[in-house]
Amino acid sequence: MLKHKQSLRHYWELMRELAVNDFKLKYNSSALGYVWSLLRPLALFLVLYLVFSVFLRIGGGQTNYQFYLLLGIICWTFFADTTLVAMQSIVNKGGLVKKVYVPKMIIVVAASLTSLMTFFLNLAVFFIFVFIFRAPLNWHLIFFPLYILELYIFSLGLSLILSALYVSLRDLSHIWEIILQVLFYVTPIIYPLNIIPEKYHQIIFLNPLAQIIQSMRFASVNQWATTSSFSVYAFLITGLVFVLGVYIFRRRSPYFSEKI
Amino acid sequence: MIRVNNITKIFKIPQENRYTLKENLVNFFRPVRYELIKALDGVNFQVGQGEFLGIIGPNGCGKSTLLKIMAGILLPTSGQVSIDGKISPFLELGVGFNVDLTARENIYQNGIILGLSKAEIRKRFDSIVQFAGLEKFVDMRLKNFSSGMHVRLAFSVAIQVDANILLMDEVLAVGDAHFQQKCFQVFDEYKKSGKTIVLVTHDMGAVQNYCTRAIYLRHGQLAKDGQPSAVVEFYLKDVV
Repeated sequence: MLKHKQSLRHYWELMRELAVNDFKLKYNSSALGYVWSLLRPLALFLVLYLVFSVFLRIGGGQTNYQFYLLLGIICWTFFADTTLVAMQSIVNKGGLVKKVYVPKMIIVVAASLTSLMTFFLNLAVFFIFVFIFRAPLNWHLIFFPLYILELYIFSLGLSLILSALYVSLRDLSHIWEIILQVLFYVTPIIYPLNIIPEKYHQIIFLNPLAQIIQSMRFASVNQWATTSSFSVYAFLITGLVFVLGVYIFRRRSPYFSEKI
Repeated sequence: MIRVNNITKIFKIPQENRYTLKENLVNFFRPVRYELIKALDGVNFQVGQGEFLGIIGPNGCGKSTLLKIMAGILLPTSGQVSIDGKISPFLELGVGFNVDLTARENIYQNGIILGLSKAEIRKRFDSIVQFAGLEKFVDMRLKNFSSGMHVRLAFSVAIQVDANILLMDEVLAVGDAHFQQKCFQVFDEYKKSGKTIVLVTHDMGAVQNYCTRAIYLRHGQLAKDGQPSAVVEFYLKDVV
């Protein structure tokens, strides 16, 4: 109806500007800045490593369990942060929604890109550790970017669904936090998958997060990390979540400005 | 050219806001009672190129709703708006300003939100800062700005927008006399260059002095359309 034709390039610039400024703002007034985003997963890592590897000896027998755990936590932190922050991004940027015409999806994507920047920095730290401790990498590493992309698409798809629903159902942030708690233990983040009977593996791998994180581990330093041929379903679910996210978001976004 | 064809906007305002799940569950079987508010009721008008249209009317008569529909921020319940030309996407000054960012960062962010490209902002950066008179404060965070500086900065960015149709909602309410003077100088230049301006305001003096045409909205309906002085007179008589 209205002609607001802007080039894709302009939307990209807008997205980048919002994402970079959010990233700046996140660490603006703190002395340690980005380091906080690293300290949180590292602290979680240390606690879980002590409990599960030293005290309970669940991961103890496995080589490079520490990398297994660290990579899992970094991926998990990205997923949890993205969905929680992006879910509330439309409401938090209400001024933008109510006073200017911008494609609303840009706001959610920008929020997810902010988390992605932190994720890349955390991954860089992970690989620095890998090099320092000389953990052997293997050629499967070439697939690593593919899994990052899958993780991003899955997180973004969920964020689109959550942010569209959050506008009219504000309880969703609390509900989602509880779901995240459950997901954290359903996904093999702390424990090696082989402590779970094999007949349940198919069910576990329906969760794209499980498949992505296991594949990432397999592609980097933990060749023993179980992956599954069943994971093709995880790819399909990722795609489905993303398409559904775009669909729901597009249907609901014209009414955001009335509901915020 | 803007054609507003029979625009009606009905807001469905739930009488109790059910935001939370508990409210939704507890009241599940009780239908939500909606209050229907007709903000706009079959509004029809056209704005030609180069016109400076003032929209006046009491609070709650639908002025801002009309502007939001024209900008594409709200969807009308029925009717269409068709627009030839590039329309400015914003209604207020300084949308997206963040007080924790510096003036420089805000100029870039705000400019991009308003539809400029980064390269264009870089080119015009000095003139934006100069127009706002904030050369010394470019790298200061916005939270340390006075509200006057804030408005000047916002206005300087906004006038850079490459649109030939500008929508403005109460932009004049905030500045001092000197700033308003500056605004109208800019509006004059716009008029000379053939741009179309739609201004929502309560400033009757401004409508009479600068607008080429005015419309008066009453309860979401077009009550009067015509010469600014005639419309203002009609409006003032009508309200009293």
